[in-house]
Amino acid sequence: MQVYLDNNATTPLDPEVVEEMLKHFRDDFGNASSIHSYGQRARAAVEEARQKVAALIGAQPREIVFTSGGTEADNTALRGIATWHRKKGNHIITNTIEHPAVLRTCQQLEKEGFQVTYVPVDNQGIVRLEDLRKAIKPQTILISVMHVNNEVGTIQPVDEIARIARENKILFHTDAVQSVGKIKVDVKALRVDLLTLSGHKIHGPKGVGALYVRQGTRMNPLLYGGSHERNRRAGTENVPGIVGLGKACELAAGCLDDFQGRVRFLRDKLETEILRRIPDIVLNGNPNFRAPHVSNITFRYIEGEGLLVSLDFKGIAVSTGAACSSGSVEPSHVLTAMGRNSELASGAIRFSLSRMNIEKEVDYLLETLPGIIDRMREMSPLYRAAK
Amino acid sequence: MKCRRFTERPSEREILYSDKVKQLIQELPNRGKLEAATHTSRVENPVCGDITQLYFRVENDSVVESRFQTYGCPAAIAASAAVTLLCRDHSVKECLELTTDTLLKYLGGLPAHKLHGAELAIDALRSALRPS
Ligand SMILES: Cc1ncc(COP(=O)(O)O)c(C=O)c1O
Repeated sequence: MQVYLDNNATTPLDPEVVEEMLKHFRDDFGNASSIHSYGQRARAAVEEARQKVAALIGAQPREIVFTSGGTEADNTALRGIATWHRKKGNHIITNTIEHPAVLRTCQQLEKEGFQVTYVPVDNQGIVRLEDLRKAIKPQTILISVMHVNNEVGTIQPVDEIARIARENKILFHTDAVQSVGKIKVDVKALRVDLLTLSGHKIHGPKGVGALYVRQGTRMNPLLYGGSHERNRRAGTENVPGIVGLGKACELAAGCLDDFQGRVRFLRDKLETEILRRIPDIVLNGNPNFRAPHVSNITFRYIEGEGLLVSLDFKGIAVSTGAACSSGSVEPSHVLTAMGRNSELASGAIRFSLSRMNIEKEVDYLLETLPGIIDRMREMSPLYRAAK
Repeated sequence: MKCRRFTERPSEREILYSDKVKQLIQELPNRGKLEAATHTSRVENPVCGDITQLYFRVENDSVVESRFQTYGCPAAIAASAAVTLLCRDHSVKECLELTTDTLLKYLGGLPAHKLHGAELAIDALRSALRPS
């Protein structure tokens, strides 16, 4: 049996998305900037997709900027705001568990003269609002806090953070790559200024995403060139990709209830049964403020990668919290920020579901996993020592 | 057009773990402690925290039983398991002649950044069987 439980890494394309995209790969190849009918057909497709993306997050279509994915949208948001507002101030606030697309961009901005405060999180991965408030300075121009964390699924209080930002006249960006299409995301209710989303996490294509930019927000583009995307993002539109993203958003809008119901049920079953069947386990994340499709579990006394390879052998795909490379273990920066020591971080496995998973798959995992854990613990020098 | 030169076969660059490594991870042969061991070692890689313990029962200068316990990445686990398999029924001298290269050949190779897994297993082997 093949069971894909690594949907936070990427999701399988929805066949309906593939169909729509194929049309634009094959037939409607026009450049959306061209005036002739080829171009106009492409333009119409891009604008229809823009409406679908906007509808999913409660935005106006003109507030959607298509990008080459979540990474580019994050880079555009941070760098675009930072460089435009530099005269007003050079201070940015983010936190320690962001995706590298935000963290690395902030580190680079530090090298270019900006100051960045990385606010800590509590041991369940929630940003500490008190620390966030204290970090605000007169020079603060931007706060960036992700909506749902990709490793542990924790939901941040972005509406409250947006309010704090607003009260202090600071712009607020949220990376919502792991929340859009999975939990309800409404930019007007959350009152964010900028929001990142990505196609391939919601059964759409890789290499396409979008940045929501609230109307009236002033910023620089990341890429310079033609006047595409209202001068916010130069480059001939990736029409098939954008169409695929639009279709994925349309389908996701109809599936939000499914996430709250069926997907959550499967995740909860997976988690409670693992807890019941396997001893010496630690749950990572906040059980109450958590997206319905993620479960991050530490299996003590073993290292995640061996478990991952073992599960892969049985056809089950998951991911691990640590990467051992060049002779040094780099435990997940998220679990480390949550106060997990290297043994607890190294034994962490992330199970992430999608609306395409079925109960039989979870049952197969539950049958397969305990035996593998037993075998690996028998082999572990830490296990006997601890018993 | 100029011909592209590969330094490795493309398939070898793409694949992280060989089938042999995956099989060893799956089966974990000779896992666990050996109470009757005559020779043991515990070696730790201070950088990445991997730990390997090897157990050998030597009779008449021949390894008659061997086991391992490892905490670490798949490379370290597979290499340790492989060492216990390769040493079985060999003389202590032959075991001490086992090299990282031979071990890597048996494993079907390891990714370049995981070679320390094989080195850890060889270190543990030598530290267990080296005459004191
Ligand atoms: C939270 C988060 N932000 C950003 C990204 C990057 O998105 P993309 O792969 O579209 O560049 C990802 C996915 O890897 C993610 O999980």
